[in-house]
Amino acid sequence: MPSPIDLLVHAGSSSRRASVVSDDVVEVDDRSVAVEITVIDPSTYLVTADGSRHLVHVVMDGTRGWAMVAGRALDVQQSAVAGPAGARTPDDDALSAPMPATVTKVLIRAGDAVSEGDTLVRLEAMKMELAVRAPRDARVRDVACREGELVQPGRPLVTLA
Amino acid sequence: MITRLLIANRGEIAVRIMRTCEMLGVETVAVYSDADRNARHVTEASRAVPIGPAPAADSYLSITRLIDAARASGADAVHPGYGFLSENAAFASACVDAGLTFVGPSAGVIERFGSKIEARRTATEAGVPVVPGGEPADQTIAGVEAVVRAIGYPAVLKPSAGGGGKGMRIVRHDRELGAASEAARREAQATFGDGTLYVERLLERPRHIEVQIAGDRDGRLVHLGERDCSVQRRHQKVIEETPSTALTPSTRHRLTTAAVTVAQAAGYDNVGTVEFLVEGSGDDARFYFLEMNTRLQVEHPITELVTGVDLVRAQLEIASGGGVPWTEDNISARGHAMECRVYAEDPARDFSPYAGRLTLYREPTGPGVRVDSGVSTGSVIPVHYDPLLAKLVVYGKTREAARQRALAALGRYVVLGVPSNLSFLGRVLAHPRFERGAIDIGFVDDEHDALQDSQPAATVIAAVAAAAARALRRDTPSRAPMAGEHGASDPWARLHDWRM
Repeated sequence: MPSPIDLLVHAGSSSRRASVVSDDVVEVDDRSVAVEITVIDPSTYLVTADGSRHLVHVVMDGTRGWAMVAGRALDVQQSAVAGPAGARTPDDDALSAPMPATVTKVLIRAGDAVSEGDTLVRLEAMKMELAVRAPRDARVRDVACREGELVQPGRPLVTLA
Repeated sequence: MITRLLIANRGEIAVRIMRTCEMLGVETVAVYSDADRNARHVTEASRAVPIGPAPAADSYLSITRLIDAARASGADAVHPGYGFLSENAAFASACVDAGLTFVGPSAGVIERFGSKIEARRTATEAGVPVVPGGEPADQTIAGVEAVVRAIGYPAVLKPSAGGGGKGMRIVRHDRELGAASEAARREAQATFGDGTLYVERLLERPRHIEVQIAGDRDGRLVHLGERDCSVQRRHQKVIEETPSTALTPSTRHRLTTAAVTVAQAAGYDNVGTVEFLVEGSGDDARFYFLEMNTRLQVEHPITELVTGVDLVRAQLEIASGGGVPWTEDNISARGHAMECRVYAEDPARDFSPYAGRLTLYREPTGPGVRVDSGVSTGSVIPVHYDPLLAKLVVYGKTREAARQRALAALGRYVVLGVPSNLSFLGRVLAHPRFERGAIDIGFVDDEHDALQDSQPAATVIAAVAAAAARALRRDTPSRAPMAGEHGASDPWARLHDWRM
């Protein structure tokens, strides 16, 4: 393998870094784990890791993917190859929909001052009402959604200054 | 007898109904919205009719479009499934008016139990206790508040028109009432097209136990035992089992007798479920009539596993005028059954539902394992409907055998592409309180922290990373495949990797 593949593996609320150094070695945090892989089919792998056997189901979509081991789902993301360390992503201030949803109510306008916990936008998805709330005291820089609009996850709805 | 059945529903229940139809030689007609064009219920039906755009209000909730679809397809009967129009008396009437057999109770019975006031009156007159509550005549916040005060805190606000836990809000103090009633009203309006609220006293730590009944036009009425549906999140059931660990033989007898009495009082015809809240356990347990669901229940398979009956077949036979196909003497329940509802939702984000595409979907099989599902690999989970993917239903000779079987089956289940509650279900089954059967409807909230995902072992992370890296290399060849050459993602191109 030419260069290590660095991955972020999420399970529930925890997130771990793993570096696939070679076909036989994966570094997890500071620990080096010996692995042996048998490919069962393009999305099923039998992996022995430091002697313990795991049947891993995984499907990658670009640099992102989903895995499942013994009924437990893990989310995989290939780390960015290059990029300025510690750069603040624009997403820090952008609030987005957690899932595809319809915007039912926009409660603020650009320039408004909001307090932490204020509801900014109300969404409806799967017959359930969701509130997009301010994560901190701030001023609204931009409102990028309209009432009645269907929004996709990850798309910014409101940007805070 | 029914020869061609239109199924006015989607997802796993539509597929489940088709299974019985296949066996009986009844042709099936699926209906589908634009979002469900390639859904499993469409591909598995004898024929399929489009009924409109994705929003349910314009498709699965449109009586006109469904009746038109039934006429156009030459169906002679309609099965409403659960949810959507299954408890809509106007739909049942429209079917009958169009000369179609409606697979469910008569419109009058649906109407009576659809109104919480009428339902409670029916139970009270039959001598069955009900939970204190009422529908405020004045539906303003002040009017709702007056009724809440009369009943006492804590109270629950719920849509008068609905069931299934949608739009419910708990209020413990005056100051919560305004926001809670507004939110409940909006959800009621959005889900059921009717914002009328109903107020009820909240019982602390009750169990949700329901009784399956079946009746016919000749007045025969039998029960098929209970289902304990106390494991709930966001007021919706996630794991159900039968028999309940809370009932002694004498309490079970009182409960099932009460259920039969309520149904009989209403002249109930077809399959239905009487829901109760049960406080306490043992011979002193108190139960309160909650509501009657005039349809097939999501969790009906656990009753099927312990009794050996096919409830959909019974529905079709009763609707055809054949009467209840069993008597209480030839029905007996044996063993234990559990159902786990598999949802596209993220337990770590307050069980938020998710939409998306299933990149891989594999169901467990094995002795005593049944999976009712409406999806397969590649299925798109639309944003417009309930995110239930499937139901894992297991049977065991004992409760513990069923629990272990469910745990093992969950470990073999694969859902990739959208978050699912699979591992959450496993943590519930493995929880000591569940193992002991010491559950009530507050269980999931009370044990919130213990039911959180723990951090995976480093070897699991390493195994996943190794497999993901291998999958990544498959997907991104170091050079583009040449014309006439297999792509790198073609498994046959990488046969040397295969264990044959």
